[in-house]
Amino acid sequence: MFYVLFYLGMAVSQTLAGLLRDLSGDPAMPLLFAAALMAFTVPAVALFWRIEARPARDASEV
Amino acid sequence: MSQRWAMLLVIFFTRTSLGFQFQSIAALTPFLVAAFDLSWAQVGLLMGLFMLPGVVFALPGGLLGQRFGSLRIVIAGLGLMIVGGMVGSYAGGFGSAVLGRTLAGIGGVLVNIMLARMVAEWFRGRELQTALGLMLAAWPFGMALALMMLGPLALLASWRVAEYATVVAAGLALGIMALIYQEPPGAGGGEAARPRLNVPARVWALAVSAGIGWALLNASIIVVASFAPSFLMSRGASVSEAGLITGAALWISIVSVPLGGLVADRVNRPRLLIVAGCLVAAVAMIAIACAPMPAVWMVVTGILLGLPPSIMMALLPRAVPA
Repeated sequence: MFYVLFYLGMAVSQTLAGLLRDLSGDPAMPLLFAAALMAFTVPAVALFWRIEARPARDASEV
Repeated sequence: MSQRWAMLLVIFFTRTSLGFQFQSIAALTPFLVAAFDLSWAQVGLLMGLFMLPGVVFALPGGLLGQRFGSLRIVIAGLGLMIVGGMVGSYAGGFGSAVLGRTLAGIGGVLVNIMLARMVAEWFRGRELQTALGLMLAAWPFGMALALMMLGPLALLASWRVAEYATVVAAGLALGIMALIYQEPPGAGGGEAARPRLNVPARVWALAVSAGIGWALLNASIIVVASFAPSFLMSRGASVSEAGLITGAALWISIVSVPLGGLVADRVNRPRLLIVAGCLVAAVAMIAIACAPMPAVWMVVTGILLGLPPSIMMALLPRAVPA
């Protein structure tokens, strides 16, 4: 599942970046899109940390 | 040189040919747009098609390696890369370019999965992290080579000749693999293992969230590597200069990623480093697009990209020990 998501992200992101350049007509738009993807990495990792912490919290409540 | 390091050299060369073929579309974008009158979305699709087969082949690819042995699958994959590259270099339009890119992508994904397996087989228990780190560096190394070489080659000859260079690289990798590579004792063949689907829900959730984070991080890097050359050209750089600047940033990242791992081990604040590393890298990417001197910001981005990858790669194995 980890690698399926990795390959999907790599494939779709480049098509989307090209589409955004078509729609905006701005050569800088794919780079701004890349910056947004990089920033969105943080909430995805925060979700991972939240799931990771869950059993510890459950155990402490018992 | 011991046999396993010689095998790692063969694996490194093969993975370099993968990165080289993957990045050929980004390196040749202005020529392809002119030849086929492509939209940028079509250019992006051609770039991404090399990775798309991974969605289907990520799981069965590993099982095929277990059933038939890594070497056979790598040779078959390189064969597909050669055929796909040839179809691409002789393409008469967008449709045949898509076909060539898809064939090359299926081959590339199979090779990519098997190379990691080969490294794990040769270095099991000894220097595995170092060997995997070197193998991972081969991909951006090949991408940078493509950016630096293929544009000038297309100017000298034609984009078809430049695309054919990726076929030659895959052919060389196939020859070296077939003649030199040896499976380690006891590897390959045998019954194919069944995939374990009875994994606890928590592990699935961890894998999905880590996979999304890893995909976003890598997608961000790959979009910069793929679209920075055409952006730099829009700011006045020549094809060769744009390829050189983007390639140099990629080579810097080859050094900065292991250094980032070193910093992470010393500082031991993984959460802070991931958050700060991603946000600072995002700001640097905005600076490439909006600030003066984009070439300088490309180099800065190459340096800053070093921090998050090694920490993020370790998230899932640490949370879910084998």
